[in-house]
Amino acid sequence: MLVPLETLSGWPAVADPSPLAVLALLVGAPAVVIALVFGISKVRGLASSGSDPGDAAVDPVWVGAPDKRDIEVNQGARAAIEAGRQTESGEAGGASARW
Amino acid sequence: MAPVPVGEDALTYTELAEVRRAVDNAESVSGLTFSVFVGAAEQDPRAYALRLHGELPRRERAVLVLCDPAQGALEIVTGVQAHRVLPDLECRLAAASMRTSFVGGDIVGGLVNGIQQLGESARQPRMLHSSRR
Repeated sequence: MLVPLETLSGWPAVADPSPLAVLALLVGAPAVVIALVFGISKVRGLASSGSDPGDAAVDPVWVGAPDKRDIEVNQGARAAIEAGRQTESGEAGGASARW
Repeated sequence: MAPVPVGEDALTYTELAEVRRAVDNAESVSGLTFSVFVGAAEQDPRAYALRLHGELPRRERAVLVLCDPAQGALEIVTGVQAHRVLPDLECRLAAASMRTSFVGGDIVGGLVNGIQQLGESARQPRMLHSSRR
């Protein structure tokens, strides 16, 4: 023990802490800190999920688009599609998958 | 399924660069034109992919890969000429491979690997007797 537990001469006598005070110091204080950290992480999680649009519309991205402007939302193509122009490649092949 | 980065674009710049590199490699290997669409498709993704494919120039040699993470839909569309060197069986194999990655939440990895697989499947062997003069 580095620090002597007895009261040094010339100093007023200090009463022993009560079991409740010891319990509060050893259990209560860590519990408060843990609750605080948990609360902060919870709030941050809620905040990030609140800003997450989830299933909301995501801007589509073309890679290898015809004009090679990859990072672009191809609004023109989308508008053309909305106009209902059908593909002429009736013999198109390919595959589909769902997950 | 891990959420796809949402906000402005479906992919980050780094992810876009990876996909673009895969597209370039597949195009150089196969001689076909690859386009990748990541985003929301309509209720019928196949019809939507066909119409997108129809919008592409030189669509006969074009391969379109459509991925809608929200719907969990993947569509591969090949043009008439592309279909000759990239048959449906190869497309189905690539789609199965991509689907495995998508299920694990790896959209970009699935796209990159799938596009590379498609490019390799459509690889045009060099014919020395015809290219040598």
